[in-house]
Amino acid sequence: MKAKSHINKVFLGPPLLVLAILALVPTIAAIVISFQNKELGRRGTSFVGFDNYISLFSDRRFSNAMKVSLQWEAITVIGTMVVAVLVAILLFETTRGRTRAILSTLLIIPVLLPRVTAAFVWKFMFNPLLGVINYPIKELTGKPIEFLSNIETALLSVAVVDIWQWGLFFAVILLKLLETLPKEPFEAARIDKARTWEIYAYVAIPMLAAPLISLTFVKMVESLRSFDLIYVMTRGGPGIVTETLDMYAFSQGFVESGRISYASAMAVLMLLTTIITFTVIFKWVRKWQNA
Amino acid sequence: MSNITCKKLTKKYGDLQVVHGFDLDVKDEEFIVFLGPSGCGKSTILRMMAGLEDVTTGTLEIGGRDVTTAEPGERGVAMVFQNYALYPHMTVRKNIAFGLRRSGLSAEEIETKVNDVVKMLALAPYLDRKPSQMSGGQQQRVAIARAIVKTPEVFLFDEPLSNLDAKLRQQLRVEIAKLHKQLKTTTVFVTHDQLEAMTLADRIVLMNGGNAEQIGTPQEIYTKPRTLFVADFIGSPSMNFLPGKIDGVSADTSVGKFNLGAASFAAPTSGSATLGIRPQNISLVQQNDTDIALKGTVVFTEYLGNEVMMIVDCNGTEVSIVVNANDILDEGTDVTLFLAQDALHIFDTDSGLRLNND
Repeated sequence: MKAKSHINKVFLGPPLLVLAILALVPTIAAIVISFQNKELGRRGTSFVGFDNYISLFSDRRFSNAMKVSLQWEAITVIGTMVVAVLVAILLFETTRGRTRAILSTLLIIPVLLPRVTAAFVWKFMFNPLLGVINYPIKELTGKPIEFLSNIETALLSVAVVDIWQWGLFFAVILLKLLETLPKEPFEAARIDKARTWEIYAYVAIPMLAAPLISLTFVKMVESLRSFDLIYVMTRGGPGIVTETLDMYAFSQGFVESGRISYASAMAVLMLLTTIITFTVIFKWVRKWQNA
Repeated sequence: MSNITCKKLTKKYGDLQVVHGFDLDVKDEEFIVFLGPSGCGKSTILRMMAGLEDVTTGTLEIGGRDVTTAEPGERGVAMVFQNYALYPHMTVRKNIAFGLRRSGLSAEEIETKVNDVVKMLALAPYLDRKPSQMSGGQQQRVAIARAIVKTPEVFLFDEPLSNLDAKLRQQLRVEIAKLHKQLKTTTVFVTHDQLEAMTLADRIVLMNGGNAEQIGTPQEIYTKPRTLFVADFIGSPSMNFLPGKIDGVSADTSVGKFNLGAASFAAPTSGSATLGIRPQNISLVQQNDTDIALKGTVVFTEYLGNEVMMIVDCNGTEVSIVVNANDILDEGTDVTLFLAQDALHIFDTDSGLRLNND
């Protein structure tokens, strides 16, 4: 037992050290800076206490960014899971063997693309003048839809790209999970007069509840990190319609005013919100699963 | 009326034919057992009855209705699977009620029906448990409850006892027999266990290589096996076989020559015949003047409790016998075995068919 507890430390030590340097140092630095009034291009900083946090609460652009971030989370997480479930069931019902293997490979390709690449590809496709998506729309209605510069469609259009990458990838994972399920409950359900949708809604999907919840968590974390996608496609525009928290923090810190401390306060708030929200959801899900 | 009629059923997977023109009439209220070694097509036929496998050619009727291409849910059948096939995320109550919900019954009707079945199978303490919190035997009882609650025209059992340990298997077997007496629902039961087949069946369908080798009552199958295969498959320990030639009433076999004057049988067309005798029909003392006597040496004994199984080497051929445990002999002892001629089965070695006139 003694040797065992020793070897734990040996193996855990190096990764924890790397993590401490890479994660802890910037986090602590951000917390410290958030209590100062540091600005890029201006000398001399002093501690200002909670000033930055207080002014955040009266910043309407910050509350907008909060709202956009929440919308972004909701749309991309729900969209990804719905697309994944539907595509997985469609493939499971209609394909088999080689066809299924080839389609699965094709569906994984989007997520293999670097986000920036995916963003550019779709930006060109959405382009009102040259875009392949607008070509038939122009033919039919005579004028293009400006997906990325229209207030109504901008956020959704960016979300489409995210769902295209992750929804199809998750569909393949779900398809493989469906393949691992024993076939007898499906057969029992058919004899029990269940229709196809009922078999999936009441038998197959509930049997996959645990992995589906894990995938949802993965996607929730992943959706928080969509800075590059939004940056390339809209830079938060039009106006501030697609400006998520990380976009706003970035522009406050580096693009518009160089207010590093103000941006850090935002980052710290984001960190706290994320930790609290995820802990609560995680506990709630576990309680629900054990019930 | 819920009889089942199979007419010339065949099943092919690609080029592989697993069922070859299967004919069967299951009478209303009958308990039919499909018995056979693995891969003989017995489960495939059951699954075709359930609608889980397509019928390649032939027709299938349940209760006089052609259901050859009907959906599983529209056949009026209920099925119990080998590995229970319960819905793992649902409680016992929900598992049992699932089929009723799908047929659109009212909540009160479902409640009443579920309660009746739960009482019948003594499942009340488990209603709010999930399958993973129950033993295999309990799970299979839930699966049986789920089948019964639908009051189907036909019960289909696909090796339901094979995953259970010996004691539970026997308990549940008795329970299934009692339920059938009570409900009288037409039942088709697939098993590879001859004990289950003998004890449960009104009629046994003995399958081999996608064909029905013999269809008959357990007694017929045991006492008048139609072929060598049936004779070998049924009975424990297996029947002894003595290959040889028959000319009139004289037989020349691997253990010697003898006169079969007291047996009544048709002459084998090719002359080569196989004599079969069950280990239980061989005695250590002479019962009749016509008994065939074989000299041999005991080479192996197996104590079974009230009986003992001994293997006797007769001139190079091993003959197994089952006698009262008091008559146990040491290995190496020389004995004389007496074979009753009226218990002798005579088969044509080439066609495998039984030749006895009875």
